[in-house]
Amino acid sequence: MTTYSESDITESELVMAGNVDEYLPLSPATLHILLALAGEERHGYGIMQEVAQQSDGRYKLGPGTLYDNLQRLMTQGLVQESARDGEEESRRRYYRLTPVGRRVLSVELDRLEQVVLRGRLRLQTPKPRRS
Amino acid sequence: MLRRLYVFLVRLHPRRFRQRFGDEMLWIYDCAATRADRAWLVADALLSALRQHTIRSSNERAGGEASEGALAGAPAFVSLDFPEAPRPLVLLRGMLATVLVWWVFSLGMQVESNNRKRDFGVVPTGSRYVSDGHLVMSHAATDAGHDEPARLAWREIRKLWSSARARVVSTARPATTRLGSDAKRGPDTWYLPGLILHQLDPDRAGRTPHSLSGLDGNRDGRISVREWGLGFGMVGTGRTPDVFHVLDADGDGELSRDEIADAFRVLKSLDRNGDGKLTLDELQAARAP
Repeated sequence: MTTYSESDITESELVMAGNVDEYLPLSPATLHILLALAGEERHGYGIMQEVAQQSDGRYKLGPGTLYDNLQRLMTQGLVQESARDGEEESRRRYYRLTPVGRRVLSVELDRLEQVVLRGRLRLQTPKPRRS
Repeated sequence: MLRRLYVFLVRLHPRRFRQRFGDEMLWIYDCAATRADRAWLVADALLSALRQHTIRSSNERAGGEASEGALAGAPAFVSLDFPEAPRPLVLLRGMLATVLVWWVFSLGMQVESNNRKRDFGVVPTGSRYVSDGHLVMSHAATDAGHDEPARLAWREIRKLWSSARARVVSTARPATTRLGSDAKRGPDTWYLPGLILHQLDPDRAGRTPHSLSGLDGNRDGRISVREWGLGFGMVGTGRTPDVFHVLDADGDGELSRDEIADAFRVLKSLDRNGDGKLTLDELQAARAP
């Protein structure tokens, strides 16, 4: 498994990534794909299975949608193909997060965390009654 | 079949996408366990192909700089947020894809429609009756050149259909006991009620759910001339329902329960040569004073 730290993000990657906020908010499909790749590199079918597991089967990602998003994420430099030699099945390709992709995911999770916190506070605070 | 369709849909994707991800998509398809999963993958591939030829193609040319929200595999309506108008060629490809999808859909509807027509069978020439709310027809009486009976038969079918009085189904039951089958061919024989003798046979009642009482459209236990004619497609033809008058012993213009129950015995008694069929001559002889 490949791990990265903030220091692994090169200056050129940051230039390519531009402002991370431009990628936010992430769509559900993108968020699930990045989350699936956050732990380890996976092939397409593995990503689909992981997404289904993450959402308890409520969110099904089809290969058309998956590869459509992967294509775009690779263009944006958030995901890259992982080179593997000697694969048993040549059709399998593995993908992993780039440092920029990991940073984007981290910022998005922070944003979602804030959303969740605010949402919970709103729910807990009783509405003022109008007399 | 589904896999071929899936391969076809994968091939509909833009070349760059297809070369890059086509094998993987097929591999995932091959991993699908159930038919429902495969059908879902086919639908996904169809949407993906449409998306690639519409939303993605313009975006890829623009360098993938469109906003995230408009590019994340979301439905097509997100494309309204595109900062740049799609190129004419992209629109053309989208239109062609739409026409293709519509054509495939129409083709499917046409096939389904043809199947339904096939269910009706070849237009019968004599063996049809209403039973249990169904208009039942026999394929066996079909003869080339009987255009007039065919036209009349379909007119009756349309009438029943439009009035929702009966659901039209078919049967491939051979008209082995078709009345008048040995008589001369022509418009004088086609409307004679085939299958009746067979259907009324008490020995075979257990195997034949339909009976003459099925002609009783209003379920009053009696069969009127109109119900009889409707059952055999003789309404509006101006023909005399010979068999009806043979069975109508008291001549009141309706077949009572007793007359219905006695129908098989009466018809069988008319079969002089005992071949299990009633010819037009035998019927006419029965009506002769």
